[in-house]
Amino acid sequence: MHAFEYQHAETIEGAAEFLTQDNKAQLLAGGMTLLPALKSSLVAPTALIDLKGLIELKGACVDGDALVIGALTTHVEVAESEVINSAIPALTRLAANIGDAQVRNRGTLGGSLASNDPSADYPAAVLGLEAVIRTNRRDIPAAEFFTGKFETALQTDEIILAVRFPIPEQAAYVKFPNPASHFAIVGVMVVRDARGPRIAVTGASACVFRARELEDALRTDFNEHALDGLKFHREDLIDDLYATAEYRAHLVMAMARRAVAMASTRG
Amino acid sequence: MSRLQMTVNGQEVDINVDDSRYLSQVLRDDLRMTGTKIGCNEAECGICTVLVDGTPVVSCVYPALKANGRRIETIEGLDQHGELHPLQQAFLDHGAVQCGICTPGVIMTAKGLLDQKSAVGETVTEADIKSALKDSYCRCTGYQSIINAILQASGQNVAPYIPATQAAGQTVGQPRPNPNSLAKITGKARFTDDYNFPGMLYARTKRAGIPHGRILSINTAAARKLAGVHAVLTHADIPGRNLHGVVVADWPVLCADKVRYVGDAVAIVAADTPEIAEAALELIEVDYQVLPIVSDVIAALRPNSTLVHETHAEGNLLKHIKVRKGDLNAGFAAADVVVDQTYRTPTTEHLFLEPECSIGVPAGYNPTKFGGNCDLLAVRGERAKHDKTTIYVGSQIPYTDRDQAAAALGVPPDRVRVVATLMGGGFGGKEDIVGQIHAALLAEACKRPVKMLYTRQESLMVHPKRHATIIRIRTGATSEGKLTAVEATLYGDGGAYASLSDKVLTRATTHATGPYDVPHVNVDCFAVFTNNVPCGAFRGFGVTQSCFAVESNMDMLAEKLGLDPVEFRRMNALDVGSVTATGQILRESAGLNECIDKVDFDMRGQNFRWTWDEGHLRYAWGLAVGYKNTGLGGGAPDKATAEVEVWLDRQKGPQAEVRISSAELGQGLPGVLAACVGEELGLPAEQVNVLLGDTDFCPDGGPTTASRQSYVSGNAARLAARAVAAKLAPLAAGFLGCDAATLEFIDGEIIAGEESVSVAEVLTLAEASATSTVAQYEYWAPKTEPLGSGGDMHFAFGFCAQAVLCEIDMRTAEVNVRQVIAAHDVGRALNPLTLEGQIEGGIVMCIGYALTEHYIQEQGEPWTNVMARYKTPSIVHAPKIISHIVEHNTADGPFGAKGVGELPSIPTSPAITNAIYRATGVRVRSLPVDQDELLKAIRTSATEVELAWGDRDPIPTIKFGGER
Repeated sequence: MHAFEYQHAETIEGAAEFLTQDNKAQLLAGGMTLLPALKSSLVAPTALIDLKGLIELKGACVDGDALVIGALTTHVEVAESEVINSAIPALTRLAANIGDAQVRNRGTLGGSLASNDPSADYPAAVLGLEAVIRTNRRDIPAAEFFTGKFETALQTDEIILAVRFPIPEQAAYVKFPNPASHFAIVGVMVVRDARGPRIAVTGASACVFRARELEDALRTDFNEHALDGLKFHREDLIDDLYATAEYRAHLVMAMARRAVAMASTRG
Repeated sequence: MSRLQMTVNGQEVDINVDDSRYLSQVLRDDLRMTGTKIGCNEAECGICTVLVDGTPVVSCVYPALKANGRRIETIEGLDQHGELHPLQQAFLDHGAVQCGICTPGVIMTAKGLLDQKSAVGETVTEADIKSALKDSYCRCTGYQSIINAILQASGQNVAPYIPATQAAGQTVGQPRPNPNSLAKITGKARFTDDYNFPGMLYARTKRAGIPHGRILSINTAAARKLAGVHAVLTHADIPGRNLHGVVVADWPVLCADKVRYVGDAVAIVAADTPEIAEAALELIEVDYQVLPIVSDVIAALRPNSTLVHETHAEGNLLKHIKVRKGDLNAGFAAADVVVDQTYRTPTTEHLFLEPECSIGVPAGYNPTKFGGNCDLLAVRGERAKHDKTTIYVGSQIPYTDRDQAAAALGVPPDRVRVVATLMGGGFGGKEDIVGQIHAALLAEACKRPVKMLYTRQESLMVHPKRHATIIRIRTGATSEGKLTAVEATLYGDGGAYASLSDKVLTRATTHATGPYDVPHVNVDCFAVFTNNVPCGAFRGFGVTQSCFAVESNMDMLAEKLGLDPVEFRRMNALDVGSVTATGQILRESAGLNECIDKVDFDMRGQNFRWTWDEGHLRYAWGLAVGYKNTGLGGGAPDKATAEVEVWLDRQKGPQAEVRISSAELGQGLPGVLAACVGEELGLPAEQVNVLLGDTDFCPDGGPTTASRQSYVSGNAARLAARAVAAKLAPLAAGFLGCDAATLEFIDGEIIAGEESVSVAEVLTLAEASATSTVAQYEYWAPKTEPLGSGGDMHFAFGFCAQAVLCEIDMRTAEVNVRQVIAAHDVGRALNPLTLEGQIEGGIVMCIGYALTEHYIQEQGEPWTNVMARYKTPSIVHAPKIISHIVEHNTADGPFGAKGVGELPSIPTSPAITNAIYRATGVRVRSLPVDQDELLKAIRTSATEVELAWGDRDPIPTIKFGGER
């Protein structure tokens, strides 16, 4: 078993300082991706810097036309937050269906975004809602944040503090879970606001992406039937033992229709 | 090291721990609180769940130092002042505990839910339970009893689900929690990894890592030099026989010349810590000449194929098994309709939630030498002795373990003792030798106790699986619907070693007509060696595979004939007087028709439709039937010996103990044995202690396999009890002045007409007269005949019928099983509560076989090498199960019983694919169902699917009789 040092971060600056001094140290939020990876020897950090004491990074509030959620807010806290549910109910539903109870109790919004697992749910919401990721150094628009499989625009000593979600008119997230693991084989976030409709897809590719041709179809008629007859195509869809690329393409359409219907009915 | 202060179950804990330790390690190793169990160590199974400040967390990935200042609750803190927590009581009442390894995690997760709901005054719903326990796996129960138990514990009035059975006796037929359940719900139950001996070392195994190769050299010098390493052993260090095997000894204890699959053992290490042992493995250098791989059963039988065992007389053909009955040509000539179809079933994994663990203790071990004492077996002083090499293990065949370990150690069998510990599930996967011999070798080499615990990943790679098969089957019937002939050819992938392939695939072959009266039969089966992971016993023992093919063909024939599929099965069902495929005349206890009737009646309740739509969801019923032999059969001597002793305890009154080395896997054997003994002696089951699987104190009960323990060991226990009763009878008769032959043992009294004397009184007389109150009975099950002789191949068969209601999302082809109606002919229900547990668990296991489970290997390399990739059904998959018990008593089984362990997990998968066909018009010919392929077929109006999830190639064409 890999040995590591355990550090408790007292301040954000302190945590960043650790990272600057030791480039093999890693931040620990909920640890729901990091710790299993560590136990499977996929990663070997020299130290874990536990952020959980930084309570200022927890919680949610509405700030003007946006909802701001702290990076260390756990999935269960998002799922049960009345503030979030009245602003963007799609987010509470998304969080309520992540993993299992044990994962939801510990996993965090910031941790999910920083690890950028290809089948994670949050990236679809962040990209679809055109959220902004606030770190200890800058604000990163969602479109620039997710750079590849398990990769983000974050620098080594950068720490996510909060995510600012513009409040949409309508939104819904629907995923198709693996029948065994319940991970999203495909997850689709549909958003509608003054800037028009947006669709973000997770699980289907190595990294979350926008399905712009579907957005175009919804521009004049935000209705699931506006997608009828469309076939989704994309070169880089994952083709693996869980699902073929063709099946994933089909599921993007099926989940998009469901999400549009759900968003329409909720108004 | 850092300081950790926390409270555990209300107690302050203040210790220094290494930074990189996890909470599970601190609880189990540092605080010696072993109620919290470890199933995977990769945050998948959920069984290590504890509450941190009231919230369920998976303790195997919770850094211990995160717990600083927090409040931890574990299973050990749940019962207060001798009073069970409502969850514990409910799990007991509902029989929601079987092997018990997952129970602490499931209960703690449920507690988190109940506490949270009661804090806000909300009622707990089934949906809440399914959401909260989504990834808290249980492999035994099938979840229905868990859901009901949690509802009950939340204050709702939910009665345990116990099907109606015939009138119960004093103890037999009474629904009663398994005797060891109380220990399992309180965290006191100890599985092998929960034992720690003073001076104990930790072992790890160097695996081949390649599927096929010649060993050129093994260099252990660097590993031996590593500080903390006590021994590194290779083939050269084995004092005795370097082979093991349950049927044929062909499997090296430590490979010498070549390796035949990735999990082959090459060297073993014992060290002060598991981490040092692991590090030592990296220092062992093994040079291989890599050999070509054979991983395909058909290619393996071609001339010039690479050979897995160069000296095996028939090359890669492990065994050719044949069934012949009647005149096949005449049978097909009489058929008006014929269905000829080929099917494929996957390799599957038991995924018992307790990984294999063995502890070897050397002869002459003295714990005080290591600063400790050994209270491990403080039941009676004698049992705690270690005067010979002792192996603590949860194994299905303790006596065979003993003999095989002795052979490797080069000592007589009586110089080795196997002590059975509780087993966290087996399902057939703990019949072969795994770490037992290695632990014993290292213990003797180091002269210290050695624990050999497998990681989940190692367990997945090493132990034998369920055989993948390709089955071509041709079934003929007359236009009236009478079956006339069955021709079938099966190829079974046995993997690298013989294991139980011969026996398993014989059962697949002999059951290949299904439970039907078929006059003309030809079946050929080829068991084949490959460089895949070996295959062996797995609940259903080959019959699960052939049933999928048989019952798919049956529905296709019914459709062609325009017959109702239920009626078609009824017309051909085996009954008393029928002749099986192997020529056996059924003389009794064949309740298939009653099973079909019960299921059919329920299924066709109000407004019955085979299929209907609700929006984009389509619902359909599917049905299948099955049967399974009880006992070893085929001419194998099938016996068990039990010892029963009765004595008078001054406080507790008359006590009995039954001793037999049969294995408790969680199936409820102790309760069954206690009921059998209690019934004979007129004692409550609570007064009958059951001691299992200590080869020095328990006579041999034979292997725990083939659904045989209730029948064979049940009879041995019952007859040993009767022998003790016969010793007490003369004393009672003398006291009462009556004839000993007329006495009855009822409710603690020995009765002759109006007169009676208490058992306690008679035991006092026995003590005074030094009359022995202990007896052994060697029970031989009715004789069976070998395959091909046409006689009784088996002494009993269990029968069943199951109907499933499937829900198919027509937009995605997602398949869910919503309801199962089942009826099982078990001869006699000895304990209806634990019997129902077997049935529900078996059904859900078979839902996994149909929908989620595939042990995928690519060129001999397992892809499913972590638990995250091998998914058994979770609580989300659990359907509502309606169960009927059918009791066609056997003449010779204990109180009329026969076997049930395997039966429920046989017909569920074809019932599901039959429902899918009815819903979609697509016949699925490969398991597990691939949603992707199914959707493609639905959208292109194709009528069949022959790729399963994980398969790359369609089902190969095979010729009847094989290509030889």
